[in-house]
Amino acid sequence: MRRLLALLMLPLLLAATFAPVRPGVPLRFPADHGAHPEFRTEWWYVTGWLDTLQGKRGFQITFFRTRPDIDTANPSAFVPRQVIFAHAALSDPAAGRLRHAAKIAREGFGLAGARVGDMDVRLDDWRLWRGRDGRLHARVSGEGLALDLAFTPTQAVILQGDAGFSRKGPGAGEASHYYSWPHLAVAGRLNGKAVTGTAWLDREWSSTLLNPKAVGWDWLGLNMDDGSAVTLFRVRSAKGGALWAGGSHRDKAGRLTVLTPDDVRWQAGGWWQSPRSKARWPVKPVVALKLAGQWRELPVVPLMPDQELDSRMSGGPVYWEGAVSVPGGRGYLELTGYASPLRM
Amino acid sequence: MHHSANGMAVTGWLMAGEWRAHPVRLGLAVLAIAVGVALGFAVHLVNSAALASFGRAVASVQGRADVAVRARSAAGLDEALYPRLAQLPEVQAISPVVEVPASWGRLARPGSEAKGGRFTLIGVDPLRAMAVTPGLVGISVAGQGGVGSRPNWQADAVWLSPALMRAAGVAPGQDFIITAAGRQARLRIAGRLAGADEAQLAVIDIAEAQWRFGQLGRLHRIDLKLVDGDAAWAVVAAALPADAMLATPEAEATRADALSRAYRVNLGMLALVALLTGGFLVWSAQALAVARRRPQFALLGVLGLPRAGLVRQLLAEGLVLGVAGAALGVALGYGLAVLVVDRFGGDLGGGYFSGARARLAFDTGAALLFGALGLVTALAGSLGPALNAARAAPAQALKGLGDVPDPARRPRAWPGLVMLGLGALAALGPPLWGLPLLGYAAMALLLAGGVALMPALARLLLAPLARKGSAFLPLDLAVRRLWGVPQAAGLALSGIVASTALMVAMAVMVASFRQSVDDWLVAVLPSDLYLHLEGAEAGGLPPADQARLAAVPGLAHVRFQRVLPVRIDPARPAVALMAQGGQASVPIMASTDAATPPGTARALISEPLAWLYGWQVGEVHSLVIGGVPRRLFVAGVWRDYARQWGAIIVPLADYRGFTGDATATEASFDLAPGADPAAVQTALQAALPQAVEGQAQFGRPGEMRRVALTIFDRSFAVTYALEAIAIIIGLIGVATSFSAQVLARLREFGMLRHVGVGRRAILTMLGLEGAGLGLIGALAGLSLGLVMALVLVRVVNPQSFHWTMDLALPGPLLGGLVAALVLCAGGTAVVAGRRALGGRALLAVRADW
Repeated sequence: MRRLLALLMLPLLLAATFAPVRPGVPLRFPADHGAHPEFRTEWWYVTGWLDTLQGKRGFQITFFRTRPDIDTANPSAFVPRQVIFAHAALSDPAAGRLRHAAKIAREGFGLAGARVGDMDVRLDDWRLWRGRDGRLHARVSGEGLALDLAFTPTQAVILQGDAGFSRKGPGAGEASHYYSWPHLAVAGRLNGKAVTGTAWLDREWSSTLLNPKAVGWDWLGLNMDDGSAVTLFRVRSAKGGALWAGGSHRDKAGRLTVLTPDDVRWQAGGWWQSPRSKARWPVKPVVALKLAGQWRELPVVPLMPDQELDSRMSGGPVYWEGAVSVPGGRGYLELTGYASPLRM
Repeated sequence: MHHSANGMAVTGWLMAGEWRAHPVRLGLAVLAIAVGVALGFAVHLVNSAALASFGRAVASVQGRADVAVRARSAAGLDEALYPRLAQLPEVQAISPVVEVPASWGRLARPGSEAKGGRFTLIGVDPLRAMAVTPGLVGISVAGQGGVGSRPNWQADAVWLSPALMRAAGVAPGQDFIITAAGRQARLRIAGRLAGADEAQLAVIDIAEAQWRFGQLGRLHRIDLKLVDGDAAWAVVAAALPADAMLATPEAEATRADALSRAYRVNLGMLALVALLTGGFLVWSAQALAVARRRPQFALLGVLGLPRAGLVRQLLAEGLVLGVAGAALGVALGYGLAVLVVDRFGGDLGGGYFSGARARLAFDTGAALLFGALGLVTALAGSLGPALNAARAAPAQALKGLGDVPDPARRPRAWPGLVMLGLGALAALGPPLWGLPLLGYAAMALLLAGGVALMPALARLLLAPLARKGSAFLPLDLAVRRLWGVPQAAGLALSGIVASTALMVAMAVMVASFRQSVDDWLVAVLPSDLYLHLEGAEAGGLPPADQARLAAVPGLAHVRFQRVLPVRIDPARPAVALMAQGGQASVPIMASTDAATPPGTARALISEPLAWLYGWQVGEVHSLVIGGVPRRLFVAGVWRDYARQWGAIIVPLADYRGFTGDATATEASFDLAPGADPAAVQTALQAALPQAVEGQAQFGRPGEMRRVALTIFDRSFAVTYALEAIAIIIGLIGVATSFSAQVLARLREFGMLRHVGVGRRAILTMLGLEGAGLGLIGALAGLSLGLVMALVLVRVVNPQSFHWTMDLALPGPLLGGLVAALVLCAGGTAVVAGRRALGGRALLAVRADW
């Protein structure tokens, strides 16, 4: 009987084994700025607002690392043990839609990879890294889109959830290691012209993230003008309700409040339908968070309605990632799973 | 206006009357033009279809990249080149590719029942290929998940081109067993390659291709997208190691074109010959018509039709013949092309474009061109007789005196001699644009010169007979007539000479080629049993398997060989590098006893290679083997008819030292005395590893020779058909010109009857005249044909295909041909005479006075 069980298990054992996300694992820096190749998936997510001569612009620079579910004796240097992909997008109200570029490659040959030990992710000529001066740097370029930015930290990182262990659903392993770095001061060049601004870095890695019932999530990160920072997210079920929710609030004095599912409310405000994907996006939600027993409501307004990004050609989904503002603050809103259910 | 309308009406009446009276003769002329046009048009259509489909297949395999870095040989490139090129700022996008010749099923020699086929196995990184060669990406990785999702990596997934799916009779979801580089793998068909219809092509992941088919660390191609400008090319080219080269789509197209160019031009020339003979037929038909209608034309002349009008009349008739022939020819040609592509594929059985399916399209431009050629030929054929008719004095012609040549006037010899001389000079010329154009010109000049020389030659040959006289009256009359007016016999003679010469030239060339190929086959197949692994360029039998084969009982001696294609010039097809163990068994044409210089390997090059690349015995040349240029000492040149693009034999030990590749793709076995070949073959078959079973082809020399010669005969089928056409046209020419002669000489016969020569004697005279003409024509055609054969064998063939052959004369065939021509010529003369002498001769004499 035991033998039979072992035989049945064999295919599972042959598959790659991913590291589990466990509570109580302290985050260490700068090591945790770097890659965690033993986990299934990981991202470096920089979003922010830029001040240009023509006005405010939103930008997004995202690097993903994913470890395909293969375990092979194949010694070829081409075996896709890790795959790196990246998106960059610019929200320009004058253009009315995103200008974006994407790249994907398997790790190897010094052309693509994510360094372990400190932040340095490369994909051909795209790169996101932490310099010796402690600043973060990003360099990406695509058609009509060239970003060369430096990010100077003005505050400490926020360890989300329980000291960086962030639950993403009701199930046991549904969690990620998660930290955010708000209020990064931006200086650099957009298409060759000098710009400044404020940005936000989200870092998350996990092997089992989403509940099987989940179809997508919504995420919001806000740099408030008074120096405080708001993080909100919720995981949605097919019915549209929240399977899980959470976030945090750090006030200008640095006091951190971790939000539980009961502390977050998310209501759809205005909708926008994409003429390309035909998906309907709730681009003007009204969110609320409970701080010290008080509900604080934040009506979200997008910089422009069309900030949909189709990343299917580089292995991603169709999602909405856009610059938004609330009274007294600016940030980025992410909506996924509205074009088709998200699978991870 | 009124006048021209009348003129038109007269033209129409004359034409209608003539054609109603002689539908068969004119029909034949139309048919001859049509055959020439049809052949030329069909050859053009089939070849352009084949080239286009070959081009499309190449493009599918290439995936339509801007430019590709290619390995010079099947051994591939070090994969370290990939990141080096990727980091060049000039490279916008890059996609590394593993490309291995592969096969499915059981490959077998032509004619066997086994089912299997060759294809190109390609390994790509779909993530990279998407930006450079999207046609090589099986599915888009689209819609597979979300942020941070994992693409659906399927290690055993293979995508097939629709053409390969059709050939192998498989569908998505089924298993597909692939043999390549001496290994076998069972993969699952994940889907269809949308962008690659023509090519026999399968795509798997690059990591799997490297691992499963023994190509770890190797790439065969790197597809690139470059920034604009020629500077980018130069930068990439400068970054390449010795075993890589830059291949552009243009170079690939040139290579495809080079593959079959000489063959195509050859066929085109044969079509031209058919067209020329068609023109000759029009000429003889028109000349006959002119001879018969002389009084009619004279009457028109006397009634006021100017001479120019007469010429116009005959040219208009030629035009109608030409238009009919051209239209029929274009239709026939298209039908023929459809049939040929359907039955034999796009290469007319030439074997140049295997794996590509031709799609035939009607080419209006070419149709007009070939139609116009037919028209011009018909007009040219009518021009001579028209001018001739216009020259005739109406009064004499009206009296029916016919042609009145003066026996005292000697026929001119110099134009023919000048053309023969020019032909000889042209034969000595070099190839132009890689084609034997001067050789073809030499053939045409020799033919024209020979024909033009005929009257003078006939007179020269008959002079002794004519002086001596003969007691046998009909013979005496025949000889004197031939001697006196050889120009009159020119028509018949030129037909016989031209067709005999062409026929002899082609027969001698084919016979020489066949004999040389046969001798060569005997020389290159000295062993008792041969093993060939088909489609094993990427790797064959490893040493352990070689040892197992060598240990099979009943073998006296085993020699292994590794053959792999190597590119020397990107615009030329690859040459075969043959690493042979032991003493090379090839027919050596030239060699040196000089010692191999230190630091070089002793190489034997094939005749085509020496021709194409200008390498000579005793020289040292460089060739990239195993990633590094090696110095080869050319110790000899050997005759090779199998590899038109060249082959180089190097010692197996040197090759293994250079590359570390110890596999073998061929083996030859000498049996121990008394061993049973069938039993040994069975034992060898059993000793083969299972992975290469489908590729292994055993052959015994006798059967291999037979198969080779069958293929040879099949590929010359077109030539044989054209030979037959040439003969038939020649004989028709003889018949029509005799008819013309007899008609023109009706009064002469009447006179002969009048002075008491019997009808039988006149017929005998005509028969003897015919046979004499046939003999002169056949002998002259034979000599001319032998000279032309020499040009074909020594000039046209080496310049087209880069190989030489020994001249071989098919004696019985030539003798039979001469005899047949003499008999036919005599026979036709008698038949024509009998028809003409049906009681009208006496009448004719009476009418004359």
